[in-house]
Amino acid sequence: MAQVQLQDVHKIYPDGTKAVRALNLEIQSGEFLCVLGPSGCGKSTTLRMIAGLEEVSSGIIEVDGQDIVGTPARERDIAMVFENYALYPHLNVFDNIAMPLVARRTAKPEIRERVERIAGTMGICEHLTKRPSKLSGGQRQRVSLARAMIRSPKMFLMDEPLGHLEEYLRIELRREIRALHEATGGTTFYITHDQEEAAAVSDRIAVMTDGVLQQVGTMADLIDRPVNRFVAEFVGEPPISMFNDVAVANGQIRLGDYSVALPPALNRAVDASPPVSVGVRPGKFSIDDAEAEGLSAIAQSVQLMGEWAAILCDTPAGPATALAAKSELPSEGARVKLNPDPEGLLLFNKNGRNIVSAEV
Amino acid sequence: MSQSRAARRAAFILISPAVLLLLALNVFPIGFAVFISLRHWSLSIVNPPRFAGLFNYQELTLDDRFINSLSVSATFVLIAILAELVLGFALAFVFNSKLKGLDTLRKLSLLPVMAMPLVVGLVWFYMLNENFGVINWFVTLFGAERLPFLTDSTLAMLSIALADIWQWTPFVTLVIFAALQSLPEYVFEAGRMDGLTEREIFWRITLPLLRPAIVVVLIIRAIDAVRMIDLVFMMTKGGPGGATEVLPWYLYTTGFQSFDLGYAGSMAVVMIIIVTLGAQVFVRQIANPEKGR
Amino acid sequence: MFRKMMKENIRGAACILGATCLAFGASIPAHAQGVLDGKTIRILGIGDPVFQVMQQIHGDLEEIAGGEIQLDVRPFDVLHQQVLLNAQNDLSNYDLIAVDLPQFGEYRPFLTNLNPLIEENDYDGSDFHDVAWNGAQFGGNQLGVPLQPHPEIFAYRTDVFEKYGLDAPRTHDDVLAAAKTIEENEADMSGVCWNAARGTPIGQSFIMTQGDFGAAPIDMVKVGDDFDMGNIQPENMKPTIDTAEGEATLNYFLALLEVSPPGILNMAWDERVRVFAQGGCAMTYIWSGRSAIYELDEDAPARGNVGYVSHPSGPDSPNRSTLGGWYLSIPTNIDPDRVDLAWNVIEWLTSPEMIAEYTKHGNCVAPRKSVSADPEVIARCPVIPHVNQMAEDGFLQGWQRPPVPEIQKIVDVLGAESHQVLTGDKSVKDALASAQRLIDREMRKAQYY
Repeated sequence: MAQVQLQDVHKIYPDGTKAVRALNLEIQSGEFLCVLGPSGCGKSTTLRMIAGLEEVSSGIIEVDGQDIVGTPARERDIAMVFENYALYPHLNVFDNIAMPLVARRTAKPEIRERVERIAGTMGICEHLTKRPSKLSGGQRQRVSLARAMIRSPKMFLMDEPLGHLEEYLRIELRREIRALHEATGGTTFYITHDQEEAAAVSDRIAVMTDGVLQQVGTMADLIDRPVNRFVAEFVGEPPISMFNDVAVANGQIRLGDYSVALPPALNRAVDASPPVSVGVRPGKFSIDDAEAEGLSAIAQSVQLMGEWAAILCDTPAGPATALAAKSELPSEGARVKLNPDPEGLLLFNKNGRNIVSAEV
Repeated sequence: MSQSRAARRAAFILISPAVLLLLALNVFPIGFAVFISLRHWSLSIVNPPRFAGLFNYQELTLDDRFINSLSVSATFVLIAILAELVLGFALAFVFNSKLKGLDTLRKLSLLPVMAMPLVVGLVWFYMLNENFGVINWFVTLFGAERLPFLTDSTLAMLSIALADIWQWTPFVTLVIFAALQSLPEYVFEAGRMDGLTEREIFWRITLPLLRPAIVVVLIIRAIDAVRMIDLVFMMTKGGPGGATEVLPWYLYTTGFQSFDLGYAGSMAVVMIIIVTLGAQVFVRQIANPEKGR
Repeated sequence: MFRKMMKENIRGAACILGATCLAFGASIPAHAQGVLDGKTIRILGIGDPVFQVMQQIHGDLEEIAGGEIQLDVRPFDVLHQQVLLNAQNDLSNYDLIAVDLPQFGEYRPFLTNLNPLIEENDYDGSDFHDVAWNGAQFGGNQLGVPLQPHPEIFAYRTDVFEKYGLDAPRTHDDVLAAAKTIEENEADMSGVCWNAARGTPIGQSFIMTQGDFGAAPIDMVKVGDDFDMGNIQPENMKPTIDTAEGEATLNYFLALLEVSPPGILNMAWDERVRVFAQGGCAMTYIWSGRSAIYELDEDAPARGNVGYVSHPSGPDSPNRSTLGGWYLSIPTNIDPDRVDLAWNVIEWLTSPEMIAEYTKHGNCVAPRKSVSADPEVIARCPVIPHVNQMAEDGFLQGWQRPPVPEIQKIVDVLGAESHQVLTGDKSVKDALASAQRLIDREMRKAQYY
């Protein structure tokens, strides 16, 4: 399996748009790497440059130590799954899946055997003679996956493969994709804008915005140690509460009508780089009743999410989101106190950098 | 039950204008052609028309000129359509590439389509004329002998085909080009990812996806080419010998110069049958290969 | 049933058309004492020189006539159709129609007998050449007045002939011999231009050349050297194509092919005269009226260097040139109230003054003796006295193209079959047999025999 290294890769379109800037990224052999980012962040462009569908403006893309910039797509031995499936509308499912083998001049009996085997794996045996237009979205994406899997490519590129599917199908298919990844042991580069999906399938997640890579790490890294405000705000569901009215004094940080003592490490960092905003993950708030110590809040709305609920509050410091177990929900409009976990405070300086990470 | 009958009656009333129009515009003229073809009917004879049975059709089977005109028509259609398709295709791909200046060229290329076929025939007649044609003037500039473009059997057929190709290739280009533009880019990307070469992509993906456009353009051009008469009228009058006497021209001279309407009518009926059958077979076999399998 | 329906419709259309024309005509002030006197005359013409001249000077004509002249000029085939369709109407859409000499046979039932009008108006036709005047006479009835009757004759370059000491060609052998001499000595000049294009051009060449051998395409009664055209009976309709004369005709064509300019197989009326005018050939067959093409063109090498003879003949046959061209006739279904107007316009358009006027604009035809003697006219059109002489010598005849309804079919069949002989696709024998069979079939279909 392939190890992929992107070194200082730029992509500038003829109209001057800088789609990807100074991208350095390593994908380990056998790794499942997700790229997460809002639309237009350059993640698709990156994938297409690896695929060979888009030219690289400058920089190097190495696969197993070999620069593949300039190599035509078909010689890169990389399989791709498209968001819109990109099936050949004029061919039936069998011929669609067989195309990569046909292109490699595989013998007919072998093609038949391998197509049937992969179709069995993907559960689409009964559709082999149908045209793609006769299939549902989920079935189409299975065909598309089967087409990518039928040969053993150096790596798989998946461009939001589940983007057009219904929720329940997404959950079912992402499990299968992960299983297939493990079964084949391939290297997978996977693009999504759905962080839950990214967390479910990937080993590591890369976050991009405006053509710039922000952070690479596990989901836990991104949640607990975001490098900057963008990552902190983009990743995490429900989203982080961000307070911009911040004052630090005597090892204490004041949020609205409440001050929290900073942990010693954080307190030291604050001296070098004064924070301008503070983020608190919903899970890092504990909800106490109105008489307790804490940040005064009015529970404006309660959004139930399974066993947990997100409580959207108004506080003197600004809006905040907290999590509460289903059994202990405050009623809407109730006055409560929010108590942030000091270890969970994320401080950002005027450049938006996380003060702790900035120091590291 | 009675409700469905009422509904059926309403449906009948609603479609009847369309059906009547269809009858008036399509069925009646064809029926009239059949009616004429079963009579001796000559405008130029003072005798009134009289019933002839299948006489005219029997004559057709004996008429070398008619049989020759069928094969001339077939030859013309094959040459012209094949060349127009291949050239039109190639041009469409050139236009589809993103070269500069192609926009103007693309617009200019449609000029021949807008010309009247009679005028096109006249222009080519004068250009190919042996005595004062500009093309033969060029030929002699290079020290070559003047070429009998319109008086040699093979050259005359090619000359007429050339004029037709000149006029109609842009139309083929236009249709194929439009179809090319509407093909989704991702299919080609999938092909490249699957390891197909550009040539394989053309044969395995582009061409099959263009099939509907090709079929449409082929049917339109084929029907048009079968009916072509203007170029023959202006350029060769069917000569030399009968080398360019296409069926419509023989039909025209019979019906409208000699006023042998009955006989011309029988030719028209045969022509309608050939065109209809041809289109049927064509649509079945080429347009919809899945059903043929 | 259908025909009747069509008739009704056309009658309706004709009434509307007539009404508008009358209303329109009435609105024109009678500002001149012209022949029309504020009325409108409706003429169906042909795209040939004489009607094209009328189009050119249309404004002047209306001025002179003091009324509107509605002149519809149509190509030959379309005119033919229009005349036949118009004949089916209860009321004619035209007051005057152009009739080609060989068409009288076909149109006879649709044309007004002019004899009463001639008597009533004391009209004198004797100024016309007899052959032209009598050409429109059938069973003693005058069916048309000559407007532009002219023969197909033979033109040759006098300067070239002098250069090689050649005499004016009187026979086919003369033509071929002269052509050979000239082709051997002149690099860019071919021998003979003629109508060899497929269809009507070579079909007409065939019957006129068959006439050079003293034979007609159908079995008419021979009177002296010529045939009786005034009284053609059904038994005279048998084709006489597969005959010794027919064979001689095709053999002459094959011989001509050797001395013809390039592109001869596509050459017709217009091109042969133009190539001749530019010096591409030393001789040409030509409808005499078309000589204006080079006589009026100051740049044409042929201008002023052309001699004219009637069609050169085959062995032991008299020189005969086919007379053709256009007459003015009145359809039988004309509105009776308009007959006098139509006649007056005929008199005017065929008057000596008008005939002389046409020659000024490229129509070198003068069927009137008085006009063909006019020195000014002769200066413009050197061909006219030659044609005059041929008429007096009795060289101009119409029987080569008998006035029978099937004439176009005959020409069409011959036009297809002869061309195949010239391209080598068919033998002379096969072509003659095939043409004979096809025309015979046609005559049987028309139930002549």
